[in-house]
Amino acid sequence: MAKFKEKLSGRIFFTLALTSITALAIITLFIFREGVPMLGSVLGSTWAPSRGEFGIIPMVAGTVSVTLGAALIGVPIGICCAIFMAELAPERMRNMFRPAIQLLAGIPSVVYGFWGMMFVVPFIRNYLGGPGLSIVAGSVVLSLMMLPTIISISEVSVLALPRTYKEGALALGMTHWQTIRSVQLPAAKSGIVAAVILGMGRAVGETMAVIMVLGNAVAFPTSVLDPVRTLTTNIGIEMGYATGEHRQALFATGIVLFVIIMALNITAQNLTRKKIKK
Amino acid sequence: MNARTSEKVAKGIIWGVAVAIIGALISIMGFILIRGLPAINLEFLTQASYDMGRGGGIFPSIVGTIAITLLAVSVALPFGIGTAFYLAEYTKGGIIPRIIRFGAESLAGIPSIVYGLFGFIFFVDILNLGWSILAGGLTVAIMMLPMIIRTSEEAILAVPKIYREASFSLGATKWQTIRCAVTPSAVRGIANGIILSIGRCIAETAAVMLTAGSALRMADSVFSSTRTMAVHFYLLATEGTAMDNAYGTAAILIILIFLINVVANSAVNRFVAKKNKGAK
Amino acid sequence: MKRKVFALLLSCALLFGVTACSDDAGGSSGGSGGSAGRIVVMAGSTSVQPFAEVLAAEHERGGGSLVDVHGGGSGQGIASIRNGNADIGMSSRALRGDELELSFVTIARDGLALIVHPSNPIAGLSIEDIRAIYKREITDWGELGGTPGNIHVVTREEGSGTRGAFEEMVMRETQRSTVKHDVPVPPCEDCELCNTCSNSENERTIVFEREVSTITDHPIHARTIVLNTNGAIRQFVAGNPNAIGYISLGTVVICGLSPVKQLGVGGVSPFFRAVSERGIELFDESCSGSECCPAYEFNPAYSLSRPFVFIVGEEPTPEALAFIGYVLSDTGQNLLESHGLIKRSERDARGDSFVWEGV
Repeated sequence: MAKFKEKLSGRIFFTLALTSITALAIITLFIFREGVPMLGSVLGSTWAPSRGEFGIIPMVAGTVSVTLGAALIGVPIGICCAIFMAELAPERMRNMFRPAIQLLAGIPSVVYGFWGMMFVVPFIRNYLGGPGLSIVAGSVVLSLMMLPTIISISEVSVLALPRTYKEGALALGMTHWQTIRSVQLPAAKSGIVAAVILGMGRAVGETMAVIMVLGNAVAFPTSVLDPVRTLTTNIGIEMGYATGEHRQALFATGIVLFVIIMALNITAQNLTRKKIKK
Repeated sequence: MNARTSEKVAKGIIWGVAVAIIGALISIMGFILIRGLPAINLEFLTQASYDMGRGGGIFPSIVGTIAITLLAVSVALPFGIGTAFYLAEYTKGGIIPRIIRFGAESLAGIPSIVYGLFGFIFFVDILNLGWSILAGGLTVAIMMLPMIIRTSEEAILAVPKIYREASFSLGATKWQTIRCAVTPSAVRGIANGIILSIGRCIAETAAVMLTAGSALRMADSVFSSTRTMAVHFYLLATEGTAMDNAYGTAAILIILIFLINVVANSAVNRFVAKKNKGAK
Repeated sequence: MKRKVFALLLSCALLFGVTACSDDAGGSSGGSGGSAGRIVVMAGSTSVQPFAEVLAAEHERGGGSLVDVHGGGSGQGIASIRNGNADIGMSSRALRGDELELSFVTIARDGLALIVHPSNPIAGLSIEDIRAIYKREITDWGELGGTPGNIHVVTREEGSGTRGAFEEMVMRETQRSTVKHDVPVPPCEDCELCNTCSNSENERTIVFEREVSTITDHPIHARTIVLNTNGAIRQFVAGNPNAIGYISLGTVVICGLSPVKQLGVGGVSPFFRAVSERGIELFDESCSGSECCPAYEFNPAYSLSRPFVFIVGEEPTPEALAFIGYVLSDTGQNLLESHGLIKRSERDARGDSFVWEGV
C-alpha cells in the first residue's frame, strides 16, 4: 500500500508540476495565434486604427524613453540605498529600512499612478512646462516602482562578496568609501546590472501606474515633456473596444512586450549565473 | 579633495538619499491616508455603492476582492506547492526540471496587461465565462503561480537534510517523509509565499478589470461580475467626481498591504528562527 | 496546521461552486436578479452611463429587473453586443457603416460641450477655429485673442462615441462649391425625348451649375492628449489654465467640483446665461461648491448635439426589452429630460432600426 501511495504521489506531483509549462504554453499559443498575423503591419510608424494603420513605433519609443528615464533616476538612488543597507546602516536602521522597501514594493501601482497624477504632473506643468502628462512624469513614477527590485538584488550582491575583499582593502589603508567605490561595487557589478535589468523589465510591463500620467498621445515624442503612449498603455486603453484587425494588432503588441521582457529576464539570469560560476 | 572629505561627502549623499526614499514612502502613504482615513467609517465599509460609485460604501468591492483572492489562492496553491515539491524532492537535475523552471520563470515575466488580454480572450470570450469572479480568479491564479512556486521551493529546500535522512533511516517512504518530516518545517515559509501572493492579488488592477469587469452590484455567484477595490479606486480616481471615496478606498488598500507585510514579516522571522534552531 | 488551512480553503471553494451551480449560469447574463428575472448587462459609452444608471435605479424601484451598467466607451458597447458580452450596448454617437445592421433605438439626445479653464478669457470659438486647434494649426492661445500660452489639447480615445460625435460635427469639413458643366444642346430635329433643344447655332452649349459638397474628415492630431472618460477630461481641464477639451454637456456643471467654462460654438452658447440663488452668474471662477449650483436652461439653437443609442443583439432577453420599454416610455423620457438630456424626437424614432413594441 505504501508503495502504491509512493508511486501515486510521485505521479501527482509530476502532473501538478506540469501546470506551469501548460499554462505558459497555452498563453503563448493564444497570444501568438492572435498576434502573429499582424506582426508585420505593426512595424509602421503611425497608429490610427480607424484608418487601418497599426504601427507601434511611437509606442516603442514611448516605452523605451519612459523606461530609460526611470532607470536614469532609479539606478543611482537604488545603488545608494543598497550600499546604505549593506554597508552604512546600523542594525536598527537596517531593520527599519527593509520593511520600508517591502512596503514600497507592495503599494498597488494604481496608487503610484494616482500620486503621480496629483503631484508629479502639476509640478512638471508648473515648473518644467508642457501639459505635465509626459515622459518625465512616467519616469518619476516608474523609478519609484523599480527601486525595491534594484535595492534588494543589489544589496544581496554586495553582501555576497567574500569578506576578504573588504578587509583586504581596509587593511591596505583605503577609507570605507574608497573600498565601496573601488572594490565592492565593481566586484558586485554583474549582480547590480542584473538587478537593474530586472527592474527595467518590471518597468516595461507596468500599465496602471503610467496610464494616468503619460497623456497617451499617439505621436512619436520629440521632447521629454511631450505626452506619450507605451506599449502597455496602448493595450490598456484600446482593449475594450478593439475588434478584428485592431484586436490582433494589440495582441501583436503583446508579443513584442513578451519578447522584450523575456530578453531582459534571460540577460539578467545569465549575468547572475555567470557570477555564481565564478 | 582628499580621501577623508570625499568619504564624508559620499556617505552624506548616501544617507541623504536613503532618508529621502523613506520620506517619499511616507509622503505617498500620508497623502493617501490623510484624506482617506476620514472617509472610512462603518457605513463606508458595510454599504453598497450607488451613483456610479460616487455615493455609498464599498462593501461589494470588499466582498469581490475577497472572493477573487480566495478563488485564485485555492486554485494556485495545489499546483504551486505540487510543483515546488516536485522540483525540490523528486528531481536531481536534468532537462525536465529545467523546462518546468523555465516555464515558471517565464510566467513571472509576463506583464499583467498581457495576462488581462489572455484572460479576456480565453476565459471571458472562448470559455464563455463572461466578466466574472471565475474568470478573474483563474487569471490571477496563473499570475500567482511563479511566486508560490519560488517561495515554496525555497522553504522546502531550507529544511535540513537531516530531517529527511532521519526519516528514511526509520524506514519511511518518500511520500511519508514529505508528509511528516519536510512539510511541517516548510509550512511557515510556504505560508509566507501565499501571504505575499495575496498581497499582489489585492493590488492587481489591469488583469482583473479586463476579466472580472467592473460591476458595482454585489456579486451573487462566481459567475457575476464584480469590482475589486483596486479597480474601484482606479475608476473613481480617473473619473474625478468622488475623490473622497477614492481616497478612502486607497487608504483601505494601503492598510491591507501594510497588514499583510507585517504578518508576512513575522512569519518569516519565526521561520528563520526555527531554521536556526533546527540547524543547531 | 496546513491541513486545516487547506480544508478551509477547499470548503470555501466548494461553497462557491455550490452557489454557482444553483444559479442560472453562463454568458453575459450570469447571475440571477432574484424574483425579477435575469440581470440585464449593459456596457458602452461613459457619457450614457450615468443616465443609464439613473434609469436603472428607477426601473428597479418600480419592480423591474436589475440592470448592471459598465463603461468602456461606445466602441466597447458596440463590440460587446457583437461578442455577446452584454445585453444592451450604449453608444453616444450615431451608428455608421456596418454598425447600422445591428438593432438599435435612439433614446435621447445630448449636447457636446467644448470646455476650457474658468480663467481663460475666451468666450467662444468658431467651428473652424476649434478644428484648427485640434489639427495643431493653431497652437497658442494668443493667436485666438486669449492670454498667450501653449494650448494643451485633450481628446477622448478612438473608441469613444463622444469622440466620434466630435469628429462628425467639428472635424468634418463640408465644403460646398458650384461646379459648372458645359452641356451640349442638340438641334431640335435630333431631339425627341430631350428637354432642351435649340435650333439656333449660337446656343450649342449651355452652362449648367451644380452644387457639390466635398466632405473632408480631418484627423485629430496625433500629439493630442488622450483621456478615457468625460470625468477625466473635465478633471484635467479644471486644473490646467491652458487646456481645451470636449465632454458631454451633462458633465459640465457638476455641483461641488471645480468648475469648468464651456465655450460658445459658432457664436451660440449651449446654456442661457443663468443665475443661481446667490445671484452669481454661471461659471464665476471664484465660486465653487454646491452653493453655486445654478439653474440653467439649454439653448435649443446650440448646434452640437448627438444621439444616445441603445443597441441590442439578435435575441434580446425579455428583461432587456422591458428596460428599453421603460426608457422609451413617457416616464423614462421625462426622467432623462429632468437630468439634462433632450427627449427623443420623431425624427430620431424614424432612424431606429427596430420598432419597439410595447410589452
